[in-house]
Amino acid sequence: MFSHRIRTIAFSSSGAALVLLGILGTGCQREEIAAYDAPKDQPASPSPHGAHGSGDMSQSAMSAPPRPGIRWSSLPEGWTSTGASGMRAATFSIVSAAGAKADLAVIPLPGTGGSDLDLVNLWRSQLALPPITEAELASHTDTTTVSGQPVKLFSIVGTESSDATAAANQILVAALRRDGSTWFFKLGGPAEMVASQRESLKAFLGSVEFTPPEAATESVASAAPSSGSPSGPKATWEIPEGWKPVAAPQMVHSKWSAPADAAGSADVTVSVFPGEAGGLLPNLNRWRSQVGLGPAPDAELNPMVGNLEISGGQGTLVDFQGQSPESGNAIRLVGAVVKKDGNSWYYKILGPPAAVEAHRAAFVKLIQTARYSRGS
Amino acid sequence: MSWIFKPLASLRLTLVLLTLSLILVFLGTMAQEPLGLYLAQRRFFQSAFVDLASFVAASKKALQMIHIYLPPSTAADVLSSPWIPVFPGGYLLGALLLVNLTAAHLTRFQLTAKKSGILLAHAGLIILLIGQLFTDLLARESAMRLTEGQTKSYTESDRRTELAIVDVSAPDKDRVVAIPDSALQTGARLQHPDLPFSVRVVRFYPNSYITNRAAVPDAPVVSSTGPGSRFAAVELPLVTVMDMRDVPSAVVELVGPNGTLATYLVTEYFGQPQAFTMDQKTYELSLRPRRQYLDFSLTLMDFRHDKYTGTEIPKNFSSQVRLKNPRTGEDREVLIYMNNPLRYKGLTFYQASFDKTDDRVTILQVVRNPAWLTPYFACIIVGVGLVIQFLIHLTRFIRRAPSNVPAPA
Repeated sequence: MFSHRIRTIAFSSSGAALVLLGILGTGCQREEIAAYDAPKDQPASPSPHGAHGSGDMSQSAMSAPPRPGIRWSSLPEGWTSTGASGMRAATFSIVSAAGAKADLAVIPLPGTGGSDLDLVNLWRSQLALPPITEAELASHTDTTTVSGQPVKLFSIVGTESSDATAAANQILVAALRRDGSTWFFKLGGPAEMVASQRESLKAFLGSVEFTPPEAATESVASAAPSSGSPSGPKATWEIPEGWKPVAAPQMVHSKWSAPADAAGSADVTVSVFPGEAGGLLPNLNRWRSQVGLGPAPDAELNPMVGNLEISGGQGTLVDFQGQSPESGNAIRLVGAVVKKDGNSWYYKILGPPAAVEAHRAAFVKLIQTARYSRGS
Repeated sequence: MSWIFKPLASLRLTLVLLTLSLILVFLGTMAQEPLGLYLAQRRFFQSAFVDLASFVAASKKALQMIHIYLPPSTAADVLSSPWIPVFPGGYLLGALLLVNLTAAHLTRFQLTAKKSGILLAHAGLIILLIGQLFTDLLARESAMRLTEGQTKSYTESDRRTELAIVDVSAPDKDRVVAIPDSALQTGARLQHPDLPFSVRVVRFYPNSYITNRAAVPDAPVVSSTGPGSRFAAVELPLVTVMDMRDVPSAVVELVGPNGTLATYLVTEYFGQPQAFTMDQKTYELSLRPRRQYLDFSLTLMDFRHDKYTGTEIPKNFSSQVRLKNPRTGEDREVLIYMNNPLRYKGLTFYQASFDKTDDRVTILQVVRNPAWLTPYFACIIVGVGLVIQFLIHLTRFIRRAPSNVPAPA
């Protein structure tokens, strides 16, 4: 009886230990490189906001992710906004009455990787200054507010720098951590100039407001809900005879091929975006780039567009002709923009000039026969 | 054999193990400040032994309670120290407690009706211990960030990253080769049969900051024309506080059969992949949060975020999502809101957060925990066992009671 009990204990205890060791073993396995098929990424839904530069990211501008932005009520004297570029959500050029220049960069970075001390020492290293300790940090730190939230304003003065150029410079940085990102407002330039702008910087930071993420122009223009979207706005048209429906690429609402015998065929696409979809001019400039034309300035917007009579209002019609950037052949684009129920509908026919001309009237009729609904 | 099993079942061992557990919990708690929550968890509770460096870091912090101040250890100190085991860790103590309980149960307790309550309570404790171990080993947390109208069929890790090399040439799907961050050690050379090149990690920065390349003269050379030509990574110490996370970067060299093809700076800071073409295929390269693909998709139909009037305090937020599973043909809408998660296919989607800068964005916390029911079962079994044992004693007491009551005069 006793030996049977012992055997039971031995079995149970060693069994439990083995199970545990087995489990622990699986938990300690080396992670392997994985390979798998995945559906294509779908960009976030279109932003109703304007375009932001995609300078540094030009290799993949089409898939540029949404980017947050800022707006401000007024700029201090001598400040000029020079727009967004690269990783900067905004840049300001500051010129004093004496002609000294400084630069304020607004950089939102995903993540919050780095303590205040690490970052300050990083900027100090840029001015060839030795690192400071946590205890010394307080004497380099001021406080201010950004969009009503208290932030620390770090001051890095180059006077003690071993580098003669850096010794004449100063950096003021406000760092705001919010929603998993860190916003850096970094003012750099000659020490006296930066010091004189300290209060202006604080006043500016107090007026800053954050705006929802914005997408690069191409991303805005290509990111419409697909025709299969059950919740997106919907439209029906009288499709001209001979037009063949084509599978709409992701984020394009509808697409047709319009054949024109020897003239080749033109492609007709319809996209829809909520709101202004970045504004008319950026989208027209995007279309211009598709036929090899350069961007048009604001002043040319009115002469460029014509009116299109549609049911219950007016649309905007444009006609561009140029050379295809890919093939160098002549190419024409007729486009129309219709605003309906808070959405912007973009119609486009693109192809060889003769093919576009052959279908221009049918294209206009397609737009005029549209019946729109908000979707479910 | 009894000389082995008697000590295993001893109450003295139970007391020693419980005492060691108390010390472990105390030191693990102390270690959270110098090491951060996640490293402390890993070193103290998710290991068989606590290493010397972690033990010292926690002890230094504990000594501060009696006003003895020694130079504090940092996470970087601990990570760079050799692993020398000095104290039993959570896994070892948990396993020994389980063995002790099982052995004690089998040696001292007999399967009788009178002891059935105790047996049940102990069985519940065993299930609780095993269940917590499974939770620790198998539970995975990730997040899904969705903008209204957007569809996703993957979740993303909060703290882990991967180097994703994606062949985007096919019109309908992508072929992904994902290299986990644990493999991205400086100097490592990585290969996969799906890639016509190998990847050499020139330098890996576990936590980093991105700045202008001109400010980092010793940054590794990058040959691509992408953002790496203008920016450079700077290594930062690992963060240890809970509301921050490390943002890694890496410089990687793609090496083909005839030598180096290109060198790229990859980092989560860039937020989008860098594309290149090879053998008539287009690849996209990025360091991104680690993805876990699902066999179903969620589309965010509507996100509501109500605040108390006149304040920024959230009152209620909810996500109306459309769940589509092409394998089962399932297509339905689900409302996820606080305390009402979506449970589907072993995953639980909680309404966790939202983006303060964009009222169209919801953030769902996604938890995979195959053992999530075990604490409930264990507590019920323990409760039932205690009630049964109480009733057994009560019944016995009532039966005995009349004989003890003095007869009325």
